[in-house]
Amino acid sequence: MSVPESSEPRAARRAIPVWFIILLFLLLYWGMVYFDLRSGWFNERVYAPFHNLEQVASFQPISGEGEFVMKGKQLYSLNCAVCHMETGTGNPGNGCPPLAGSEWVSAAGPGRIIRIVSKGATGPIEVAGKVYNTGTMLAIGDQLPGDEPQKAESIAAIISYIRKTFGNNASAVTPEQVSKVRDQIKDRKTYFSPEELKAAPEAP
Amino acid sequence: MNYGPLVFLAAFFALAGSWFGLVLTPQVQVGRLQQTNSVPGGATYPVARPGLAREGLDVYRANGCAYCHSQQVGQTGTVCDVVLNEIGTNPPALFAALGKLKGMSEPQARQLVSGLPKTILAGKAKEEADAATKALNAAGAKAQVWIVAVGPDISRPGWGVRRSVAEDFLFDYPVMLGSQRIGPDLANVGVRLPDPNWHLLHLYAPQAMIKGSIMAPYPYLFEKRKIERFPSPDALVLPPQMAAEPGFEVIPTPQAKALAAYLVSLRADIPLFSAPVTVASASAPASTNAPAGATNAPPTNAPAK
Repeated sequence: MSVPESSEPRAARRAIPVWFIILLFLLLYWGMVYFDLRSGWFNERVYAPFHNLEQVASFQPISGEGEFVMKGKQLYSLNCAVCHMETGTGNPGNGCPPLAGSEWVSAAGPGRIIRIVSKGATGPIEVAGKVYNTGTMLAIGDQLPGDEPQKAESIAAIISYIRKTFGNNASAVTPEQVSKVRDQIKDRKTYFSPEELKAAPEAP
Repeated sequence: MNYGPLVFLAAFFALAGSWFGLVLTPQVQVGRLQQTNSVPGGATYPVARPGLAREGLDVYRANGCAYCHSQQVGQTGTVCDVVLNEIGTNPPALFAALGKLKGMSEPQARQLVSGLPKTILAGKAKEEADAATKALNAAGAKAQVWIVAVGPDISRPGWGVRRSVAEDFLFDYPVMLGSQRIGPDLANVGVRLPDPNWHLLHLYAPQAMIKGSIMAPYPYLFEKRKIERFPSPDALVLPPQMAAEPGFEVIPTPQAKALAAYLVSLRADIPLFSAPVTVASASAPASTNAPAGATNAPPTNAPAK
């Protein structure tokens, strides 16, 4: 059958099928749900492969003893290392005793070291077989920033750090232990003398 | 029919749409990005590169390093390992729990816990790892969930332990992301190859350091000069077949030193909130992206490792 030359192809009008419109809306709905669940809503802290902020938060490494000791290391650098040095060797020229190998630091019970860090110490003190008598340690613990629970936590972190580094190998100290000791000495205004410290209980 | 207004509107919306998506949205998203803290550890991240390394970024840019090297580590997933740190106070209960977890007998479990810390389960989903850790800790042991990033990039040795995120580039202008990997990714090169001297030798003669390397040498970043009274402490220690003729030495220019300092300042191993990963606490970096070697100090001529 031949087609007349004059006939142009013509498109007839036809309504869009209903199923196609429904399919479009379903696709749109699926797309929106997918976006909602996986986009993180453009939060700048959500990157692939994470889908949303809750998921990122759930994958945070759980803080353990290691992190606590790391915090202590930072606080030590800020507050203690001026005199005791980053390496814990102390500064004999200033009368500042070492922390490395110090029996005051690595005692089985941390009661005395908590007292020293909290309220300071002065007077001739024997550390690792040598007497240091010209130095005075300030009440660093009381001067740390924050309220009392924060101070206790910071002090516990510092003491845990110095008990676990510089060749020392003693147990970590918990904020609860520090709070307990600090509660007993909270009204004290003066530095400890070594005799008083020796009289104090070693266990917190 | 006059299509002018229609064409105008179509063009306007196309351009406005792309401006909205490609300029405005990213600006709203990360335009005010600030320093953050590493998690765990809480160290400030990132810190600005030391001066010499910052200059090195310009050398990196000027020499087109970014044409062949990317600085972005990808990540396709995050899995959890369960690491047993301590046996604890109740070994029989621990062996029973291990037996249940891994379907092993008591002697096998006893053998497994020798030489702690040890990875007990690897590559598990978060829920499964949490449940296993809980079971082990209930038996008196000390177990921990390790967050591990996975992906083709991360599986390559030394390419980094997590994906790159926007914070990594906070102090870099321009950001040298790169799009081609004719050479390896450099996001973590400061950890992979921490010695600036290695980089100096490698820039002068790549094939001397890596057999079969296709990297172009950059001799114009170095100066061959006659040894005056004393040899320079900066002179490169070259293998015999590449060494300068007797009486001459090869000295890195300030550009070469800056570039080496920049390269060793690149690292992608700091755990962040937006890119969580567990790092061993012993090796947890104290100051985040400060370079592994002291890059402000000029490189010495200590022989390359």
